[in-house]
Amino acid sequence: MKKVMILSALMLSSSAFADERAEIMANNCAGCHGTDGIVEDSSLISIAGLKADVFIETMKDFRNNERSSTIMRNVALALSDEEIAAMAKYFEALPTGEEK
Amino acid sequence: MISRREFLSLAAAFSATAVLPTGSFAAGKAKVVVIGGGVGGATFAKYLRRKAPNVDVTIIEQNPIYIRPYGSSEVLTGHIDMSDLEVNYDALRNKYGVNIAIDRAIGLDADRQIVKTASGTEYAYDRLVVSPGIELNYDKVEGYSKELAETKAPSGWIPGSQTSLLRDQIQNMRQGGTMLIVAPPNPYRCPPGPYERGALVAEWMQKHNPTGKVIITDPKNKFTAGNNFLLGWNRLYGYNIPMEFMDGMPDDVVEHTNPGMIDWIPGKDGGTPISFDAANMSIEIEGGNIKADVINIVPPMRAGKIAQQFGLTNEQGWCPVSRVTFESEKIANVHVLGDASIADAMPKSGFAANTQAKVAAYAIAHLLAGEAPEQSPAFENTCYALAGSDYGFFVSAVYELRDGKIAKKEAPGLQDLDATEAQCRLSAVYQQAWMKSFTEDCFA
Repeated sequence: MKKVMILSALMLSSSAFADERAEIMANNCAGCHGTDGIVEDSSLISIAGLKADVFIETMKDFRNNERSSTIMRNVALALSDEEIAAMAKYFEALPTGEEK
Repeated sequence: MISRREFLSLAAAFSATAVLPTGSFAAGKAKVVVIGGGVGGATFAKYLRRKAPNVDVTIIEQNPIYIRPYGSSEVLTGHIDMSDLEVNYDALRNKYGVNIAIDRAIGLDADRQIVKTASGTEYAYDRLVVSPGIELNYDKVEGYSKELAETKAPSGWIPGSQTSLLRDQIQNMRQGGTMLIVAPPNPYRCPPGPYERGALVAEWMQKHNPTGKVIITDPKNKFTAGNNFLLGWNRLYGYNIPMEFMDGMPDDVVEHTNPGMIDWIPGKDGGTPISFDAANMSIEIEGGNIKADVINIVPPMRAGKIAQQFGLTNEQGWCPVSRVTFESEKIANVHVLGDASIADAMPKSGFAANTQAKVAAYAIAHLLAGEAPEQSPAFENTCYALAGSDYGFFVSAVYELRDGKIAKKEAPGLQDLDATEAQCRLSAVYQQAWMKSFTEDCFA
């Protein structure tokens, strides 16, 4: 597991430039979901380490009103499929609070 | 075993030494100086140190403790104390290695790239970031002044002694008295702010001064999240929604027969302020004269004073910048963030300053390494607002660059008017949680 993470970190850094927009977009989530996707207040939910397919499905459910939300439907509707996929990949690679 | 973060910071340090830097900092560490330790400056410093740990970052800030403006209207009703607004710089200093200089910038030598301070220190920079927030333009309202704001009719828009004065005036007001809020013209810091303040005071009055009244005069004919506010006021404070705002309102809107606790006078109905009469405690608006027990004037605003002094502002008093790097269009190697900058479709909010700061931090990290910054950055804004302690809603938007300007991506930007009671309640819960999560992302 650790090896996989280092490998993915290596890949991330070698293509760091291409991935930077995903990181910039992910940073925009931090005001509510915490720096690096970890927030203390449980009502706002940490998203670091979230499996990419769960992230993508959740965002699509917000969009389609298949999952009840307040603000997240609007946010999901403003993001393209490619942006959601890139952010999903980015957050999946972040360590959760427990691993720190 | 090496953690991913350590690996990335090692990689960043390595690549920075591998790329030969150019310019004045070739001999040593690149130096970035930040003027202003508010949301923009603090977030910028934190995210730059995370991205480029080899860069030396110094914040020049006058006050050793930051007093956050967002959420500060909650002081007026005693929901929180002034001390709850205080944020320290310990994490920036100790966790991120940001130098905090409690000092006041007074001069700029743009050719030599040096900032001079009140203590007589000179700070050399490769890149300077100016994040000064707003200056209140008290004199734009005839009869009003900074002195009157500090003694008689507080604005309380930059939190401090005016906030506590306003709180005391509201809480000591006679039974059946009137609080008048004079809303400002666009653009200004915290677009939903005056209307949220009116609502929170009305809620407080329901318990402590049930015959009291809040009047909001306005030079504008509409305002941010206006329909959400009008609906909330209708439900909570007996406000009657004008016909032209009824489109899309849910079925439970009531036409009240008694006058409500809150009233809003838009510009078209004479709400534009003309002058303040301190001796009579009254405001002359285009539609007549209003006398009040407490007068809260939110005056027109412009970029913080230091941005004006440094020659970073345009004729309207705001700072034109590159939307990719936030570098000033007026002075090279100087960047302006947050409320002071011209950011097109983005509001002057803390959240906007926070996401601008991150984009600027990444752009400057690249520029210092002799690389091109990401050319299509993304920004976001989220503002929570309250019509009552348990009644919240929000403004949200994602932004991208379009034709060199910051434009809102197509999507709904407000809470639905037919949101359920539970959703309004949940937005109020998130509003309170956000105060903490947002402060942490900026300062901790």
